Amino acid sequence: MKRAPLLLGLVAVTAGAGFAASTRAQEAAATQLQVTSTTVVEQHTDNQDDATDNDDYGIVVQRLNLGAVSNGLEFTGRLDGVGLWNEPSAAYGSYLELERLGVVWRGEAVSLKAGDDYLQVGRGFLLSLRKNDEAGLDISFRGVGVEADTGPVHSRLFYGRSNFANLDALTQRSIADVNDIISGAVVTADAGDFGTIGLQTVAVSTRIGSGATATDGAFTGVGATWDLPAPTTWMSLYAEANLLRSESYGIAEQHPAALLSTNFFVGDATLILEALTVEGFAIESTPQPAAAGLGTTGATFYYNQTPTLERPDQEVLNANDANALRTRLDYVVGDTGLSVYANALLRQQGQSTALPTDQLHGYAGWEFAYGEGASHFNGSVGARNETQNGKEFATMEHADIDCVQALGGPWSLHLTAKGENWRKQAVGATKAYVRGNAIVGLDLRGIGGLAFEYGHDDEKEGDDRRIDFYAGHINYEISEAFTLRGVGGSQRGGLKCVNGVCREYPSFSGGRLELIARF
Amino acid sequence: MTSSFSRLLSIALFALLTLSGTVSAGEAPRAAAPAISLKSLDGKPVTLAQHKGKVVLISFWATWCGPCQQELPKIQAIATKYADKGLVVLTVSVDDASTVAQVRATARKHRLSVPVLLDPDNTAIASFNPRGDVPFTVIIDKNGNIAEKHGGYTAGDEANYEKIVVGLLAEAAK
Repeated sequence: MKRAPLLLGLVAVTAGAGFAASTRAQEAAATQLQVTSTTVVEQHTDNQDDATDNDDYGIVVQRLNLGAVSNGLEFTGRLDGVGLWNEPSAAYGSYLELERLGVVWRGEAVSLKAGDDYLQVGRGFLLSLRKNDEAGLDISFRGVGVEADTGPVHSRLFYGRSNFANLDALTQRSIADVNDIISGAVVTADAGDFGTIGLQTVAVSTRIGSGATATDGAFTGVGATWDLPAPTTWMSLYAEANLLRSESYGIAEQHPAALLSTNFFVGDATLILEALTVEGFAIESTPQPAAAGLGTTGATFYYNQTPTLERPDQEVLNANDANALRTRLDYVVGDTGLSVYANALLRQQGQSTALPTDQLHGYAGWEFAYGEGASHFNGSVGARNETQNGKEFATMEHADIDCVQALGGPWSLHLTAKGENWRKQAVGATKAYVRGNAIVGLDLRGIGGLAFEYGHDDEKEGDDRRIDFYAGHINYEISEAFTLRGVGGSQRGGLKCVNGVCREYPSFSGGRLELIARF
Repeated sequence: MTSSFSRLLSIALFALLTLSGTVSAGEAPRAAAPAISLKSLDGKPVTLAQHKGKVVLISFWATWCGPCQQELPKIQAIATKYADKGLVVLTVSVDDASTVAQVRATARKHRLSVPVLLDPDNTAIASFNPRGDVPFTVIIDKNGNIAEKHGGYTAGDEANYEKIVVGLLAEAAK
């Protein structure tokens, strides 16, 4: 497809939405549109990561979200367009697609849904289809669903397929729609003083493997939940247990998972105690085609997301096969603006593999708000130790700070910095490396701000490999509805983990402009 | 016309037309707020429809979001100041399964007395803010239409929220 007509098509559609929003003022009894438009233009240069398939190309991404409420119906839609120039390989592709389309009808006790929706069952063990921008993933459920509220009982049924956003936001490569069939049901009942009790079931049909050896795969899960949010004034509790049956190549396996999460409150202190067990608990998608460049045999993605009990930004080796215990104590120091916390985690992962890893992670921190809340100084420090078969495998110390200092009037200064100091056992040697970044910026309320970012990552060294990264940021609020953001320079990539979803992504070098319109 | 020039022309045209659309859209009537139906931290079902006829301020936040932690006490302060004038304030946590356990501790830290609702699959925030960035504040008038949407937080933004709330409460009182 020629790119110029594609981009002109994007222009026409987006401008059309803009004018529709403006001309509706002249129409009596018109349906009012909510419009959110995001346009990103990037030019990539050589990011010096020893790979040549992510250099020297340009990309335009246009994402147009529309929403409307009319006569009891709610409509949502998203049109995505991607245009590339000088793309390094066939793994990148230009396209224009109606990525999301949904309609909801809400009655007194029943709601009917058709089209795209995000969906989580329980705490995500059986199903978690959501937008995860930091992990670059966006998977929705596309199908039909019905929800009913009949007194104390709430039920939900759904049937459809997975719908991937076709641009991997981290790698900018194409993700194919594999159209795996997903169905399920959730029923919860309000049991008065006994909280809410729920039953849930999910079924997913996929293809396992690729090429001539591919076969049908099936995942069927059932589970129960118990949510006791306020049995007393001093505790709350959530419990969930699930059993997953996976079947492929004529072999069926059972996998259990359970979570117990409790909160205790005493004065200004809150104590969290959590316990988790998951055993091979993964619902994987049909593999992506190898040409997608996401892996030699095609990457799979998970339709579920098991809790990890770890900090969201932590590297998690195995989120689907683990036992873990975690405790966290938060304490608010009166009305001083200071609160402190400490967290300890014991985690055993890969316990059913040949090399289970035991991990001990402790961290503590503080948050101090002052100047009537206009300024704050937050920070934390921690240490992690991992062993395999009793031998030390990795150690890491980490620290981060987040400061905002009001300067008077609309001005404020901000500084955030985080770093990790790693030592990992490689074959016959210890690999030591440091990674982290710092951002310092000046903000002018109502107008925007400027910032400077420094990043460092020496995990992978080489003559042509960049280990220090420098970038400048600008944020400009053109109007109430219109924001412009830009970054130029280089930003570090590497392993990025968000709530147990860990992905390797390339560093960035070049320039990026982002235009956000909301009206 | 070279292909590079045509691409640049397309992008420039897009920017110009979107700007035009946005500027003139500023005069347009307010869009109706989508319905939301969530559970509170105490397990109670809460819907936007329950507050029909009232001015509603909704603040979307997350435990891992620094600016959210800075904004929440300001949202609470607005709620306290205007509760007896009919303002309804709802805060919505978009924490997923990995961080939802800390929502209660965070609410206690900020001494929130306003309802804290849970949006674990982010469908509620997506209906107002498809980008999903937090913090995100929405103010709805007495007719159920969106009067203001604001993403992010810089110290002092609450003064603008308060100004809008006062205006909408005055509208509601007429």
